[in-house]
Formats: sequence, C-alpha cells, structure tokens
Amino acid sequence: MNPPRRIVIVDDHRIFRAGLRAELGGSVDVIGEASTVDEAADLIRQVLPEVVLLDVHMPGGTGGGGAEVVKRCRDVLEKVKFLALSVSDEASDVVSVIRAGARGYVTKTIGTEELLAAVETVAEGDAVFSPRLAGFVLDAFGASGLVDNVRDEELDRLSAREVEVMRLIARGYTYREIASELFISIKTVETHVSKVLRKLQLSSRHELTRWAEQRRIV
Amino acid sequence: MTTPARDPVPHRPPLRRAVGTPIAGVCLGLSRHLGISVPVVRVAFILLTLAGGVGLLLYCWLWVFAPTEKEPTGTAGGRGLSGPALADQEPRPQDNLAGGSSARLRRTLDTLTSSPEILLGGVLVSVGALMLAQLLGVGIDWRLVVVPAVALGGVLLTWSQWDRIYSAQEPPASGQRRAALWQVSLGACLVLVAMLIIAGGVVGPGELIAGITVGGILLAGLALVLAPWLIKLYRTSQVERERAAAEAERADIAAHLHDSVLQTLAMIQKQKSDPSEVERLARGQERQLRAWLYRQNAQATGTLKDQILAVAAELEEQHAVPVEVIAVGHSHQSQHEPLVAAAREAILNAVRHAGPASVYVESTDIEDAVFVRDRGPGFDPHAIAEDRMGVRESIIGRMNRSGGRATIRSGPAGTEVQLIMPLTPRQTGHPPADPVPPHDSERQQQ
Repeated sequence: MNPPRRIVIVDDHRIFRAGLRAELGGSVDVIGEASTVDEAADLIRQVLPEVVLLDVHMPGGTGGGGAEVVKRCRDVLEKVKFLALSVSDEASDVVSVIRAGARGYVTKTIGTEELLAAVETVAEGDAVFSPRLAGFVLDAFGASGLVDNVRDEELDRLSAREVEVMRLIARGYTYREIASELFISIKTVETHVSKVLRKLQLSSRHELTRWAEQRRIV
Repeated sequence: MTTPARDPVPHRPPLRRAVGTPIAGVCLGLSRHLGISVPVVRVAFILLTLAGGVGLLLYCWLWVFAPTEKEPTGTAGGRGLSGPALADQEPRPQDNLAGGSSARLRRTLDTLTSSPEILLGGVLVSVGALMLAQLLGVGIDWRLVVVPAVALGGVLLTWSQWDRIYSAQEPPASGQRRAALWQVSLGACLVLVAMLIIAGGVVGPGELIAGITVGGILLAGLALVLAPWLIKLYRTSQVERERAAAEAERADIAAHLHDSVLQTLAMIQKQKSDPSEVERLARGQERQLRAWLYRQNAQATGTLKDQILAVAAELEEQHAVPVEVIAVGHSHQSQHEPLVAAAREAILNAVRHAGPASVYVESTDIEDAVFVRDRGPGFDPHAIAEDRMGVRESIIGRMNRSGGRATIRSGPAGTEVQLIMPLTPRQTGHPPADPVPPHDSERQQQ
C-alpha cells in the first residue's frame, strides 16, 4: 500500500481545520496548517505537500484569498496539487480559484470517503469535479455541446464526449459509473475531466469571468 | 425666569449653522450660540451691511468657518450622535420672545427679516433709489456697486451649492448633479467677471491680458505642485465613502444573521439530543442562508429552476433528507406544471425510500430534462405493482400524457428517474419566456 498522502490544510477557521484533521487523520498525513494567504504560501513552498486542501476565502495577502495562494505557488504546481474546499456557491469564487490553477473544487459538506477519494484523484494529477462544478461548466460553455458555427478556438468549447461526461457528473454519477455508462475506462473519464479543467483554466473566453461575476450557482 | 446671561458660566451651544434657512443659516446659528433672538441678529447684520458692507463680510466669514448642524464633527461618532447636534436647543430663542410690546416688535422684525423675498425687495428698492439719485444728478460710480454685487451673486451661488453637497445623504441624481455643476460654474464665471472688471480698472487692457497669462501660468504651476495632494485627498474621501457603505452592508448582514442563524443555533443547542432534528434545522438554515447570500438579486421568476428548487427545499424540509439541485440553462417554455409535478414525485420517492437525492435540471434548445438520482438499494421498474400509483401514474403517466417521457433506471447502486419534456414546435419558434439570461447570447456566439 502507498504511504499516506502528505497534505496541508489551509483555512482561516481553526475549528474547521481541527475537524478536517480529525476526519482525515488516519488516512492521510497532515503535515501543516495555515490560516492566512501569506502563511499558506510560505508553508507550502517550504514543505511541498502533495495536496493542499484550500479554502477560497481567507485573510492576508492582497485580499485574493485561495486564488492568490495558488498563484503565489505557481512555480511548484507540478509537485503540489490544490483542491479547493469551500462553502461558497459564488460562481466567481469557483472560477477564480480554478483559473488560478486548482485541480478541483468541492464543497465543505462533502463526505469523508468522497473527500479522501478526491484527495487521491488530485494527487494523481487528475481533476475533481463536484456535480455543482460540472453544472457550472455546462452552463458556462453551453450545455448542448452541439456548437454549429464554431468560431472560437479549440479551448473555448467542449467536445461532445466532454459534455457527456460533465452531464453525468452533474447528475451525480461517480467516475466509475460514468465509465460503465459510456463504455470507456475510468482512466479515460479522468482524462476527459482533466481536459475540461484545462479548458476552464486556459480558455481565453473573456465572457467566462464576466459570466461568473453575473451569475450565482445554486 | 432665569436667563442664561445670569448664569455664572453661561453654557453656550457650539456655533453651528442652522439647516433649512433661506440663505446659509448663519443668523439662526449665531442667535442660538449667543442666546439673542434671531431678528435682532438679522437686523444687526443688515445694519452692518449698510454700513459699508461689513455685515456681508462677517456673514460670509461665518458661513465659511461655522459648520452646519448636519456636518459630522470629529467626535460625533464617538458620542454616538447621529441626529442634529442642536435639536434640543431649538426653542431657546423663542423664550426671549415672550411678553410685552418688545415681543411684538421682535416678531414683526422676524417676519420682515426672515423672508428672502423681502430681503430681495429691499435690495431692489435700494438699487432703484440709487438710480433715482443718479437721475437727480448725484454722480454714482456704478462700478463700485455692480462689481461687488456680481461677485457676491457668484459667491452665493457657489457656496450654497457646497452646503447642499455636504448635507445630501445619498448621491444625487444625474440631472441634479448637472444642475449643481451649472450653478457652480455660473457662480465661478460671475466672480471671475467681477475680478476682471476690478483688474481692468487698475491696469490697461494690454497689461491685463499679460497679467492673466502670467496668472494662468502661475496657477498651472501651483496645480502641478498640489496635484498629488489633491488627488490623494479625493481618493481618501472615496475610500471613506466606500468604507461607510461596507459598514452599512455589514450591519445589514449582522442583523440578518441575528434574525436567522443565531436563532437556529440556539434551537440546535436545545435540540441536541435529537440528531435528525438538528440536521433538519441545520439544512434548513443553510439553504435559507445560501438563498439570501447568493440569490438575493434573483427574483423568484417562476422559472423551471426556481420551481424545482422550491419543490426540493420543501421535500428536504419535510423529510430531513438533503436534496441537492443543480440547474443548467434557462427553460424556453413557460409552462412546467407536468414536469415539476413528476419531478416532485420522483424526489419524494427518493427521499422516502433511498435517502439523499441529487437533482439535475437541464434546459436546452430542444428539451427540458430533469434527472433525479439517489443511492438507495434500487428496485425493478418492471416489477412495479399495478397499485403503486406513485411511480406508474404520477411520474410515467403524467409525463406521457403531456407529451414527454419518463425513464426509470434502477440498480444496486441506486435509482435514476429521467424526465424529458421536449419543446413543442410552436414554442421553439418563440423567444424565451424567461427574461433573457446573460449567457444565452454567449451561447449563440459560440
């Protein structure tokens, strides 16, 4: 069996950090905690954990919250993966932290098993999409996926398969269920999700940010 | 009656200009400060004005340096004073008005001097008198009369506008703002013209032009030096204003949290022996707070999304089982009754028999779809007994009757009910019934 994943918890609520540590305790190795942007950036660069569980809103730095932490650790993103963990439903929060470079976004109400699975997935370099994030992507890129007059670049639209995967995630399917539903391997599902994440991060669609500001996921 | 004058240490209210007076409130403020009746102060000012304009100068001086009642002082915040600082001093000048013929005289004076019309009339009458005097052969240098009058008019116009800017609580409408701008510029022009006339009396026209040029250059230099400071001043005031707005918002949030969240937390502490009740309370509160935080701008438009959300919230509340709703797109149909009813039945089945449910609502250009997924033990859809009206009638039958279709997939890993309602051709041709969502146009651009 693999050694437990080395993770850092970044959240400005001490109670939440303690709860998370207790919850994950046996299965991962929590090597550090931080509560502000500056603390987090310093700690992460120093200890280089495999996964950072990152809150979106926190004090410090220039007020950029979780997204700022990711941006400051841009040069170590190869080694350190960020999983955003938030209570916020604000689309702009999601977009900012994902576009900064986080590998996934889950809500704090997620169950322990799912969170551990998400940590594992992120550590492997794949992306973690909650149903809500998938719904958000579908809404932002267009749910139909059947783009007729393709004018934008490759990055600005989803392939039919990616839309299908996103839709199944939004419907509450696990990667395993998606794989058997679409008759593909789990690895392929993960590849699709990672591709969508890349598109979400790199897309030049300026509408994406504006869209996120105007809209709220519920 | 103990008069304030006899008091060994007379307690004087601070000198602040009154609000809501015809010109600037200097007289009223001064009368409150000194404890003399208003008309007396006014008459004194008029007499001083007639005596070579001293009264006017004094009036302007006080206008500039005495703050109005509404302007916050440095300590007002600390004292918790939010209203007019002198409200309780109001009746004081009236005390001195009581009784006797002097009171009547004062009252007459008050009515005479408090009305701007009468003051204006007085000014016009004196102008007329001057003209008459000139007709009768008295030599009058009009420049001595007109120039100060023009300057005074300009000053009055601009200064009264400053007062209004400070007393305004909320930002004025754009029309008002333009009017204010016009008023200030007009006043400035008047003052400038008066200055030029004065300067023209001292030096010749050629020198005047050269002087203006030099003055302009000097001013530009001065502006260059002072610019950073002025900009900083402006920014600071902006920041101040934003901070006040943020503070107001914070107070609003605090009030809301107190009304809802703290109450719920108190209830949770009382119910701590009943886990399901605690969970129900927490879920309900979470949903309420989320709705308040993230959807306060979204009006309940009765869209498909809103209706499904409402149904989910209701069932979640009733059965103490979380129901997560994710909605994508905006429906192009206006009637969702069969779809929402069927979805309700499906969610109800899930929370009753299987536990937490996730609902996915998707609206595309061709159909509205609702997927209700749970992770219960599942059942065989083909083996549904004829009398199980819930599934057969309320979900499948209802969807089929209204032109849609329902599919139930069930297995050991859970059940998914798929409800699909195609757009009727008649409706696809029409623009969406919902207010056009921002991303619809984006989608068409793709």
